Parts: sequence; C-alpha cells; structure tokens
Amino acid sequence: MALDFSLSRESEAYLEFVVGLKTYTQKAANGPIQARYNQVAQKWATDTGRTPETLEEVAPLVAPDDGYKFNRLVSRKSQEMMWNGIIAAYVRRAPELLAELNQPEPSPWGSLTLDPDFRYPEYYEQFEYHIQPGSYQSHDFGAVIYNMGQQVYNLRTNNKAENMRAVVRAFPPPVSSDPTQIRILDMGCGFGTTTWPFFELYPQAQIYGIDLAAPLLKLAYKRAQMLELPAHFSQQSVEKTNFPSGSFDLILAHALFHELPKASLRQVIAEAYRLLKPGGTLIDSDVPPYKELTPFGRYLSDWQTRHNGEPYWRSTLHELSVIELFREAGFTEVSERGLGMGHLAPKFPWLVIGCKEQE
Amino acid sequence: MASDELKLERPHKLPRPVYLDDARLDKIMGAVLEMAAQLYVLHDRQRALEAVLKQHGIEVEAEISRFEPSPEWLAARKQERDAFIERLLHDFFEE
Repeated sequence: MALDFSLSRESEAYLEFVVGLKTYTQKAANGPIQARYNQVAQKWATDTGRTPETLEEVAPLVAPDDGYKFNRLVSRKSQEMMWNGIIAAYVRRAPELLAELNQPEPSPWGSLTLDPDFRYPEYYEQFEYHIQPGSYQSHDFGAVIYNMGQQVYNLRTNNKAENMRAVVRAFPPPVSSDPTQIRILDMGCGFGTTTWPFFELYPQAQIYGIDLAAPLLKLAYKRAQMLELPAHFSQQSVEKTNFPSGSFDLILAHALFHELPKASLRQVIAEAYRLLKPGGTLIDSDVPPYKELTPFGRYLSDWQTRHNGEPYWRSTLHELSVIELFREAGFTEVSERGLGMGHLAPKFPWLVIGCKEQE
Repeated sequence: MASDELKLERPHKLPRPVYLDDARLDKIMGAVLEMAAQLYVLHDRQRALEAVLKQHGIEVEAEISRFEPSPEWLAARKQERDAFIERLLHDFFEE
C-alpha cells in the first residue's frame, strides 16, 4: 500500500498561502530592505573609509529597520504556520498514516535496521530543528510532518529532486569498475530524497543510507518499497558508524553539516574518510558558507541560527571552514563550488568535494 | 495510537524571539497573518465550490439565498468557529 500524503483542499490552500508568505518575504528582504541597507552602508563607508563586512558591522545598519523587523517576524511566523498547518492537515489521519509507516516489510526491496537502544545525542535533542514541534525524532508522526514541511519550504516545487540529481552528477567516477561492486553511502539520509538519485546513475550499486532519526528512516524505507529501490537504511550515529573501513566509493552528506556542532562535524568528516575506499569521494552539499555571500546576505543567512531552528548554522557555515576540515582529515584534491540552482541562495547547493588518496 | 495521544506542542525548547520590540505586537501580527491565511482558504474554497457547482449547472447565488441550515450543520460550524478562535487567540493568552 502506498502512503497517501495528499491534502484536503483547505490544507492545500492554507499551505499555498504559507508558500506565498515565504516567497514574498524573501523577495522583500532581497529587494527594498536590501536597497535601504545599501544606502545606509554607503553612508557608513563614507564615514569610515571602508565597507561594512562583518556581522557585527552589518547588524546595526539592518536590525533597526522597521521593514526588516516586520519581514523577519513574518518569516518566523510563516515557519510556525507551516508546521501548524501541516499538523492540522494530517492529525486526523495520523493513525492510518502511522500504521502504514510501521507496516512490516512487504517486499524484498532493501532493508531497514533500527537500533532499539539508540540514544539521540544531546546536541540533537536540545533543540527542535527548523522549529518543527517535537522535531523529527520524537515521534513517528514527525516524519509525516517533516516530509510535507520540506516540500513547503522548497515552495512546493520539484527543486529538491532536481538539485539532488545535479549533486549526484558532481561525483567523479566510482572506484570500482564493476557496477555491482560500487558502494554508496548517504550520510544523514533523512527520508531518502537524497538517496534516490544515486539509483538513477548507478542502478546496480549497493546503496546505503544512515540517519539518527528512526521516524525518517521508516519513511525512507517505506518509500523504497513504493519506488522498488533496494536501499539499505540503518539508524546509526553519523560520527561513528558500524561499517568497516574502506567500504564506500562515494559518500554524500547533503544538508547535514549545518545540523552538527563543531566537534561532531570534525568526527563525521574523519568517519567519512575512514569509510571511503582509497580513491573514493566525499561530497558535502549544503547551503553556501557566509564567505560566499554579500555582507547583507550573510546577515540574512545568519538569522537562521537563532530564529529558524538552525542552532549550528553559524558554526558550520561561518566559524569553521569545511574545506579546511576536509584537508585536516586527510582528503586530497579538495575543491568547492556552488551549483547555483536554488531559491534559498544563489550559490545553493554549495559543494565541498574531497578525494581520499589512492594507495 | 490515537491521534489525540500525539504530543505535538508548539516549539518550546527555545523561547520565541521578539521582533517588534514588544512581544504583544508580534502576537497581534501573528493573528493578522493567521486570519489572512484563513481568509485565503475560504476564498479558495468558495472559488472551488462555485467552479464545481457550475460544472453541474447550479447557480450558486440563487441556491444560497434559499438554503436553510440544519441543527447538525450549525453545530459543525460552531465547532469550526471554536477551533478558529482558539487558533486566533491562543498566543495572546500564553504566559
């Protein structure tokens, strides 16, 4: 049976309105609000003899603007409305949807391994990611909500699927020449939207997805059944997996690193290095780091950290340099570039690519 | 598991930031947006309804002026009204 995430006409309309709020808010921030900032920044430059660069320098030029304040309030509110609207849309159908999600393995497509003793790390439990009530790990219903949340956040376009295809195409050829021996790992696979494109490019490969959140993995596995794709999902800490060293040709971490505190991020990159075959490739695909943004864009992006349930956004995208962490972990042939496909930022998704040296 | 057992609270692990220098203003703006959303939902519904009825040859305006609601219909509206008001005013009464 298929999971039916269809919405009532009312819920469709409500969420379309939320999409409208998000679209307009972003447009206004990048339009008139940025234009006013530019004027103030110009004056600041005349006074000081240089342009404002740091967050601390930009803040007093943007934060007092009433339009900016309202804009950020609506942005925050649109995110709250998004979650509330999605919860309202599905709450009556929750028993049916959850029964479907927890249905025992109906076909031989792939596998799901959950760890009943799994303990979520403190950094993960401390906040609600994306301010989703209950986050996505506290209840199976969290997966149902997050699934639609991601669609609304992507403004109900197919951008995500297209982005992921482009990310997967950015990998250099796998180490193994035998297509059945190619092994691929999707770290922080969530409910699998980042996993499926690998099957298009490497249909005979052995494809694995790991994540912390059991509800998301259940949904990923359910989808694998529906799509008839043999993906192997397991609940594991991304910092320390149970795969043997040298297991994988390609490892993807999409939108994972900005969800990790500094110590974890270093561990995850080291773990990916351990898991790669010599000659294998790790790609971190994420929103662009602050250094790639204008001072105003940087300030706007930074808002996510404290206001949109992205507690580690600033530390990953600003305070650390992921490409430097790749080098520290031992990666050679390290490079970075933006694919420039997203509505979220002009350089989204931003790729950091590292190869493990051939032996 | 019954849906009413779901513990889905508003984001609570971090306090909600204040945007307009006064949290009360934030809440009013929130209510305005919520009302706007509901208004849009109604608007969408109305348009959809009119389109559907027209496909069946029904002229809505004349039909509505002849419509007499049943007690069940009125009870259902009351329930919807209460839920709407709760959604509208909830934030004002928190803390």
